[in-house]
Amino acid sequence: MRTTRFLVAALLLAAPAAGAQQPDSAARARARADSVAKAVRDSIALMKELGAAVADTTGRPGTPAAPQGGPTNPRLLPDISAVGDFVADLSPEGSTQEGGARLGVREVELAVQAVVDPYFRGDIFLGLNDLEGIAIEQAYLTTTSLPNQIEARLGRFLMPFGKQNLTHRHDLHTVEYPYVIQRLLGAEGLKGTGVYGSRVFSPFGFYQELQVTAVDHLSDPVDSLVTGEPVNKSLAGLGFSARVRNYVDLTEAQNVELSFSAMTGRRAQPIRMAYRSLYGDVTGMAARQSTLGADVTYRWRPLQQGIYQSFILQGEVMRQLNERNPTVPAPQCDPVLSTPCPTPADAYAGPTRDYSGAYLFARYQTGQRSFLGARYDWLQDAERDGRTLNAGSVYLEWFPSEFSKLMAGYEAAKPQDATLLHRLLLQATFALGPHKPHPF
Amino acid sequence: MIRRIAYVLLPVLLALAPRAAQAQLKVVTSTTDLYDIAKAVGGNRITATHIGEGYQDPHFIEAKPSFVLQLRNADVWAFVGLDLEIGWMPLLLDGARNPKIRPGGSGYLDASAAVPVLDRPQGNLDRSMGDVHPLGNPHYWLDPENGRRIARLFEAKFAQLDPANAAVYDRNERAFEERL
Repeated sequence: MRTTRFLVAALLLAAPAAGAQQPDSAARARARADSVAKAVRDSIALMKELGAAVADTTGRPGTPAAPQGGPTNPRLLPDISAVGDFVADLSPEGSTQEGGARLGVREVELAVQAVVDPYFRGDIFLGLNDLEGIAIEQAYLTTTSLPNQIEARLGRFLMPFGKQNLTHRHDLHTVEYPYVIQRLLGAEGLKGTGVYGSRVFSPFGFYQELQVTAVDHLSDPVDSLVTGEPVNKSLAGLGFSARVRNYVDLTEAQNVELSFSAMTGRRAQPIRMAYRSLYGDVTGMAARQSTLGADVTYRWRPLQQGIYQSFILQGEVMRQLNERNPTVPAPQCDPVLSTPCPTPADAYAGPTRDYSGAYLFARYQTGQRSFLGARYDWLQDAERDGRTLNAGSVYLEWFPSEFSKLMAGYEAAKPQDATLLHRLLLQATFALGPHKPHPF
Repeated sequence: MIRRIAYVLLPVLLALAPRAAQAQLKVVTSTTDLYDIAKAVGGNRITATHIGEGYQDPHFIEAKPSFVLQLRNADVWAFVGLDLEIGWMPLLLDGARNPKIRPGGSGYLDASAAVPVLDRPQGNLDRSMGDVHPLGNPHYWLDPENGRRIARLFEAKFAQLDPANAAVYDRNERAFEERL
């Protein structure tokens, strides 16, 4: 009896919980039947209303919308856009532009972008200028359907190293990249051809992203350097990079991004000219070069006044680590008959020390379409044996619309052991067509 | 003694046992107006968030990475369309890597599909006309009757993705139209 009472009480108390845990198949079936009945009623009502709409020229509130016409892109054409970048160099001591032109179209970027199929998106960016002709700036396939929110790219892309390297040059808030990027990554930033992978995390509640790449080589090959064997002959000779991006909203108007980057690869470095005759056709050798970086960006943009007020403060620091004793090819020399064979240290003309550089940039929005910016650069200049370069610059930026930009910049650059160099640059950029927005 | 303890404890334990959570649709909208309509139709059967704030210009919302965290697990992405969000939506959808809310996905919901579009430009169109909307006027949500149409669109989508609660969505949508 006691047992029976116990079981009945347990069943009575557990019934609601059990009922909630069991699938309500009866309720679901009723819901499905109701949904079908409603769809039938709506279809009949729709036909009646459409018929009335044909006769009722004054229209009727609540009438379901008539079909809006066909697709906007029935030929499935890609988005084609172009950006023109014009630079005028009015520096008092002569033009500081590549090629020496005072006035020139620095580059035209042509973009062709589209969805390829349900699995990929394609982006192609071509750079055109008089000095380099046509170059493939970027051309990559991006996955859109991988699991676990992984994104992969195959092709040529901007290397995910630091912050500003991911921005197209014409889209910078200064006329040129910071000196640390120009020297350590390249005058037009660093691109790589290979594989890119990325995944978003949020284990701590804020946005984190890991970006990794494996590319054919770091930096563009120098035509004048011929190495004994390809730099990337072994897989260890490929370029590899990783970046961890951390983004936090401080308030609805303020946010900060802190990221860390690293990359390593083998680069062709020159053999000293005086000894090149001893190496046959070989004019260079491979040496490992690694670069570490950190970047931080603070943004303020009040949401209510977002198109009128904003402020950004951004800084990056990089350090380039160079292999001290790379393997030098054996010279073809006779120590008895010819000049003494050079030691590896004598023959190697590449960097034998590490270099650092940094910049700090700020930009304040003075009006709906105008901005005032300033940047400070510091660099251990590899092109001047590591002597430091300090530069300060100011910029006035005006956007007549979202699709055009006018900028004036003044820079004072002081290389160590050299005179102060003044530069005055003007820039005009314009965009044609549906150019996709650039990353945040 | 042990039986008495079990007699008391067992029903308590069973009553406290976790109820099977009914999975809620995760809905993210571009504007607060769409958010309100989505909540009115979805009720407590959905979790809804919005990207833009009501006091923000929806043309110029920044594609902040934090929005990606909202979108990456969303079941429905509802937006105004007609290129209102063209300046930032592609970045967020790419960053979210969520095939459900990409164009053609089950949760990609363009609210403009439900409304009669006004002010479609005629003839030659270029940017000398200023800030043009080539697909028509995207500010259609200001018309209460379009609110009705959007609500029906949401009801149909929610019922499609969550047929178990279709009756609830229908009831909520009718109540919303009554209030209108």
